[in-house]
Amino acid sequence: MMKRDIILVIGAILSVIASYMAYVAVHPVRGDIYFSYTHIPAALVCYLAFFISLVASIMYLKKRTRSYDMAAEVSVIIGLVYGIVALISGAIWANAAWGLYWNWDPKQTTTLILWIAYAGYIAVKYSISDVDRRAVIGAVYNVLAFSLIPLTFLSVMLWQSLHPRAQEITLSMPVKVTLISNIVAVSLFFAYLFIVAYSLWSLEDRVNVMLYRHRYKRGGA
Amino acid sequence: MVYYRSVFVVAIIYWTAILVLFLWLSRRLAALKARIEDLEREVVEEGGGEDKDED
Repeated sequence: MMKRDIILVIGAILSVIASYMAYVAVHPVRGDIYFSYTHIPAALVCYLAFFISLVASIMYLKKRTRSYDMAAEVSVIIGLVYGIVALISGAIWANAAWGLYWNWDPKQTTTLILWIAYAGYIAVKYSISDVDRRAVIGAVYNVLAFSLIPLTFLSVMLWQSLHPRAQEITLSMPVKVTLISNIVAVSLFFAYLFIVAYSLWSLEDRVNVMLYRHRYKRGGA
Repeated sequence: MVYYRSVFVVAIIYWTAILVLFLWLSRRLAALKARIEDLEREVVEEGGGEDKDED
């Protein structure tokens, strides 16, 4: 068993415990709290992934090391998956709580814009063939795209929103513990996926370099 | 009121998304393995050719 598999095992065990707590052991007063166990961890991990990609992009622009560019790309891809989970679970929760799947609520709308912006990052990166140019443009785009995250947080304060503010939410201790367990479990899954994807990207990069050198040598000879 | 069906749908969506990500990564890994095998084959074939030339 590799070290990264330990993260997966701990995440899986914690996920089972959190699911048991969420759906069997803890009975919240509000029935729609059940949605929070998936929606909040997915949204937080999505923001975390975008933050990691921002740091990696800044590091790339500073040091021009390919590994930072790959870390940024991997983090955005995983963040997009968690983002779509957060958006869909949020829409289903909105239907249960507010009566409609999509209300054009500021939080929903800004989160969708954020998701599209990051999907654009992947589109931009895959549309440029030159490796160095792709990395630089991707990193700059990523820094600009991250500026939308404060907007999604501030949207509930700037505009009238049905979405509650973080400080308005009051949860009982068992619900809080269940939610935190879910957040940790989902974060561990993210960490595992990030390590696996990053290793894969690095390997692909090394193989590409080897292939290029091999064919260049053969062509030159 | 507990929204059992919707909560179940959300759980299915979450685990499906994770599963799709795993499957996608494993497909990329399989493609990478195939490329490495191709590269190895090319190197071996060329090595063999060079040996023959030397003989």
